[in-house]
This record gives sequence, structure tokens and C-alpha cells, in this order.
Amino acid sequence: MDREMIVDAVSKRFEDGTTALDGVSLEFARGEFAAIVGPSGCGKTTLLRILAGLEEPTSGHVELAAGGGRRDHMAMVFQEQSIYPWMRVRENVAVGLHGLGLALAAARAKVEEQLDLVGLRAFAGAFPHQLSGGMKQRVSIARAFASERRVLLMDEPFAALDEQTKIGLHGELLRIWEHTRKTVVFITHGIEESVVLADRVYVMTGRPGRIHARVDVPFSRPRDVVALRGDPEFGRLVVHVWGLLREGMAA
Amino acid sequence: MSQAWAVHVRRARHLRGLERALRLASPIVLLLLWEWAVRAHVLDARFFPAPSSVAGAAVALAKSGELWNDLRVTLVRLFLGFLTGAIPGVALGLAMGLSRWVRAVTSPLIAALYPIPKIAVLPLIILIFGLGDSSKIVIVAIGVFFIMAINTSAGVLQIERIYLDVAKAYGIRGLAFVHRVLLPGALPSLLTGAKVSLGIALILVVAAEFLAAKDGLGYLIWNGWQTLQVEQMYVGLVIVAVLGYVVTIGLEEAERTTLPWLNR
Ligand SMILES: Nc1ncnc2c1ncn2[C@@H]1O[C@H](COP(=O)(O)OP(=O)(O)OP(=O)(O)O)[C@@H](O)[C@H]1O
Ligand SMILES: [Mg+2]
Repeated sequence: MDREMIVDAVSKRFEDGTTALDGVSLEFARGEFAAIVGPSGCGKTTLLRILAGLEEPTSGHVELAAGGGRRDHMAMVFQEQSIYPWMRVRENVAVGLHGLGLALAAARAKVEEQLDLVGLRAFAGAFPHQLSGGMKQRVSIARAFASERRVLLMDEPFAALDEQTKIGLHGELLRIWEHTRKTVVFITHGIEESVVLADRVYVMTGRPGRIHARVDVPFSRPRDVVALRGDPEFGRLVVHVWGLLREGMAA
Repeated sequence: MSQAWAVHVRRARHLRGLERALRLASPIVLLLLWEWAVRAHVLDARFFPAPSSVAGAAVALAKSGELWNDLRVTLVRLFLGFLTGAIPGVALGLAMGLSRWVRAVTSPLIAALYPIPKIAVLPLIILIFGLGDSSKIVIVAIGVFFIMAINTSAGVLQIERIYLDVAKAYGIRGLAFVHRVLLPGALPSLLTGAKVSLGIALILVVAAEFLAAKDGLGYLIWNGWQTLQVEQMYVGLVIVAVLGYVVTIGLEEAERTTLPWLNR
């Protein structure tokens, strides 16, 4: 398999002395769906910000197979509310198109298409304060998809959503991913979510964050995100990851 | 739409209408009280002529064309002075908000210069720029400049970091960054600055017209005093007050209708 990026012994120590990451090494294959789970405060967001080029590691480095700057290849879905309150929904999605150099008509079509995917076409003209928390998060997902970048970095994108919407979006995400085959790094607190979505699940230790274990998820694609939960192998994997997480927190 | 929601919307609309009505009514009530007080001899008509006689003087001045000319002259000075001060003020404010280096260089200067009463520099400005329009425009511009610079930089510093991160992550730079992220992000503070500085600008232009002018609302007031035409003084004062009122209300209405996202 082609390699997308290598994270080589990345550590991060903040100015106030907090060590968030301690020697994290990972390798992502092109088109792979990787999930990272870990206890709160273990440095998951920090790792993703480093991958996105929003933060520099204190030591170690990130290498891209495609070359060039990290920021040119990464589309980030942030953990917190991140869409601009002063832009309408469609303008917020169009932020993702910035720098693609699309003609106006093409850009419009692209925005419509992404809004359809996340089920927000009817709200294209709305301002963020008119949306629910989950809808805002879907705008930010549409923005990331619109950007057509190779790597999608998602920081607990569904954490604020209700269970129904979440499972719906799992299906959507996999469907979109299956025909774009972007490389995805997906951070989550949800163990089930990680097993449903990913090819590989990385388990992190408590702070300072290190990679404690890697679990390969064998289910074939395309996956049925609902039926999969009934599979006995699914339950076994969830328990396995849960055990690793507990082990990592004690380590 | 559910029944409860409809009731809620109606109630909210009703309250907003009430708020607007109160805003419009309060100056009118004040005028009525004043008129009554003069007629009842509670106020001395020599110093506080009744609104009706001030209105009479205003009509006379309007008919002679003098009033319109003074109003136009003052408005032009106000407008040009505001633009001349606000554009560099906002630009400096943006630079200060973005760069700690610019802040380090300029903030002690601003801290030292800003509190100097602008009226105290007026003689100097007149000396340099003469008795024409430009001295008034410059004094207004100076007053507006500092307020806009301070408010804009505060506005930029208040923008949440996540919004800057999003711009960084999606490659929004340069002019697009300024007009799509920085300016709208700083807008609430910028609008406050605009309101405050328009008030100050009005004070400054009238004061400058007292000292050295042959026209304008300040001249109208000053001339009224010099020729002991108290009503004419009041005409000038009232027009200045109305101007301040219209500018503030106008800005608030414009804000309400063009920037719906500000009224969360
Ligand atoms: N800018 C910063 N300065 C100092 N410390 C920071 C900074 N950003 C994060 N930290 C610290 O680094 C650690 C890791 O933070 P991070 O946000 O990466 O955690 P996380 O794994 O994403 O947690 P969660 O699951 O709750 O989102 C925390 O202890 C946090 O307090
Ligand atoms: Mg986090």
C-alpha cells in the first residue's frame, strides 16, 4: 500500500511546561481510515493540530508522501464550534473551497452538493445562530469535504450529536469515504464508533500521550453501520479496545 | 409552527416594537415638558425659550436658506473628517491587533496622545491648516482616528482563536483574510467605535466652528450668542442634538437590518 504520511517520534511540550505528547510514531497508508481513541486530555487534539500544520512539534516530525506543506493537504473538522457566525451556511461551506480556484458556478454547485450530503440544503441561506449544535457541526464537515484535500482530520466530529443523527452520519461518512478514498484520521471517545468506521484503531495512553496499542479491524467494505453492531466479532473487538484503553490509562 | 412558538414570536416582536417606540418617544416627551414649563413660568423664557418659539426661529432661518447652508457645511466637514480619521484608524487598529510588534511600538504613543483634549490642540491646527474647511476636517479626523484605532485593535484581539485557526487551515490569507475574517470578527467593537467617534466628531466640529468659521452649526450657535439671539442659539443646539440622535439611531437600525448575526 502507498504511504500517505509518517509521524516520527513527535513530542509536544507547551510553553507552560505541560507535556501533551511524548514520542508518538504512526504511519498512515493512502486511503486508510484510522481512528484514535484515548482518555480526555491525552493530547489527541494536539496531535491533530500538529498534523494539520496549526502547531509545530517540539521534537520529531511529520512527513508527507505528497511533499509540500501540511496545510495544503489537510482538511480539519474541529472539535469545538468553528463555523463563522457572520457567514451564511453556504459561505461557510465555501470557505473549504478557498484556494481551489473554482469558477463561481462550479463553486456553487460544489457547495450545493456538499450541503445535500449532510442534509442541510434547505438551510443554505441560514446564519449559524439559527442552527442547532449538530447542524453547525455538519456545516463544518461539509466545509472539510468541499476542500478536496487528500487527508481528512476529524476531531470528535460527532460528539455533540444525538445517537440517531450520529449513526446516520456514520453511514454517510463511510459512503462518501468509499467513493473518494481520502485518508482519514478520526479522533473519538466512542469505542464503538471507532470500530464501526475504521480500518485501524490506535489506543493512546493518558497524558503525556503515547501510542499504547494498534488494533486492526477486519470487517469488509462497504460496511453496514447498523448490522455490523450485531456481529459477535464486533462486540469482541469493542471489549478488546476497551481493555487496551484501561491498560493504557494505568500505564 | 406550534401554538406556543407563535405566541413566543408575537411576544418577542411586540417587545421589540415597544423598545423602538420608547426610543422615539422619550425626546418628544422631554420637549412637551419643556414647552409646558416655559408657559407655566417654571423656566425663564429669556434663557430657555419655549420649543415653539425656537421652532419659529428655525422656520425663519430655514426660509432664508441660512440653516440649510450651515447644516450642509457641518455635515460635509463631519463626513470628510470621519473618513479621513476612520480609514487610517481602522488600518492601524488591524495591524495592532495582528502584530504584537506593532502593538509594542504604537500603544505607548496612543496612550500618551489619546488623552490630550483635542480642543486644546485646535489653535495649533488652525495655525497650521488655516481658517477654512481643512482645519475642521483635521481636528475631527484626529479625534476619530484614535477611537477607531483603539476599538479596532481591541476587536481583533477579541476574535476567538478558533476562527483564526480555520482561516489558517483553509489557506485564507491577505486581503481575503482581512475582509472575510478580521473585519467581520472585529465588527461589534468597530461599530461601537464608530458610534462613539461620531459623537466626539460632532462635538469637535461644532467647537472648531465656534473658534474659526463663517458658517456651520457651530457658527450659528456662536453667532446667536454674540448677537443675543437666544432662539437662534437654541436652533443650533437642537439641530446638533437631533444630528447626534439620528446618527446613533441610524447606525443601530442599519446594524439591526444588515447584520442579523449580531443580534444573537
Ligand atoms: N495551548 C496549550 N497550552 C498549554 N497546554 C495545552 C495547550 N493545548 C492543550 N494543552 C494541554 O495539553 C493536554 C492535551 O490537550 P488536548 O486538547 O490535545 O487533549 P485531548 O486528548 O484532545 O482531550 P479531549 O479528549 O478532552 O478533547 C491537556 O493537558 C491540555 O491542558
Ligand atoms: Mg480534544
